[in-house]
Amino acid sequence: MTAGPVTQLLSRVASGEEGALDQLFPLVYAELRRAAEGALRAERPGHTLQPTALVHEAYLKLVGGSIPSRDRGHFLSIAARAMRQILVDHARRRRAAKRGAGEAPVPLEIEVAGAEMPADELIALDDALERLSAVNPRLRRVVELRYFGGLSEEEIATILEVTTRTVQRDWTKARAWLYREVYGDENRVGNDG
Amino acid sequence: MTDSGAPDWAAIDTLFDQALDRPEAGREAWVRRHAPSETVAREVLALLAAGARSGILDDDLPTPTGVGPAADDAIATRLAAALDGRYRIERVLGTGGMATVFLAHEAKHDRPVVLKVLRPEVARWVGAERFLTEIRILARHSHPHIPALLDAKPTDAVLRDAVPPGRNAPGPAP
Repeated sequence: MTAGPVTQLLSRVASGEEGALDQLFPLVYAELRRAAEGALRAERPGHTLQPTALVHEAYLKLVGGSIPSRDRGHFLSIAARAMRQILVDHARRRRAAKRGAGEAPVPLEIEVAGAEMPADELIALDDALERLSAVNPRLRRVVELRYFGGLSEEEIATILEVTTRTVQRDWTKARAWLYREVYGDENRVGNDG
Repeated sequence: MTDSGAPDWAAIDTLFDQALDRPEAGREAWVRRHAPSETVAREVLALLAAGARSGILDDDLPTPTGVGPAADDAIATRLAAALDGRYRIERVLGTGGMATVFLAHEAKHDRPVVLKVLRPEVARWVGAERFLTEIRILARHSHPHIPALLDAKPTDAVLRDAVPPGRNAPGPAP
């Protein structure tokens, strides 16, 4: 593969072209979704998703060669965002199916997967992330990159152009803020009870 | 939107930051002593308490299963409702990043057609506008390697356009 469409789109994103991001997202989303499905088919039930492996696999497939680190950062940010959306879309479908809402029932092959997906928690987290973004957009990005993208603190620091210590502090703050939103204050019983 | 983040986030953020640097023992008293207001103290203490619990972010990423078929089934079901008997869906021809392509049968003219449906999750991200642009471009062109556009319509966040299949199915020209 030569300098593919993703590589070109990444450099257009870097030069500030707004529409390029919109074109890039579906490509990354589709590739990650394919990779996630492939991984799930290949593995035994009960395993967990490895975002790091999936994101890097998608990176190799879509980008391949070396690109400027800023472009790489953009790619990883989009991939983390796409992973978030893949999971949340899935959780919403599951919840809709469970409640017998208007949407199509989800095939029961899900049951072979073992652990129940915490759909409600994931959707609550997704909603809370949007509210967090309004308070401090960087905190949202740290959560996306670390939790949904599986990136290390050092990688996140490079992408966000801050120190690793700032990333750690952002994570601590974001986590506390989100837990308060998702689980409520301490007098309310969370999911472990 | 919620009452937790709204009141003076900057003051809460600063005090929360400083509190995290204090040893855990005596932290609460320190917060109460240094808070500019009772509200800020209450918010910071609530955040500290929330941070001490465990939750979804401490576990591995939840594993989605059956993502593919579930997604296409959901689209097919909603599409069937939207098509209202005019087209009958036969099968999925292909799934791309932005859209799913179905082979369908047009009742009125008794002929096969191809339906291209924008993925709902993609529609939410890029907006339907991009798809409508594609449809407009398609509508202006007549070429043996470009499928002719028969119909296009936004329906309940699911968009479709119908083109005849055959020699030149949608996709890159040979």
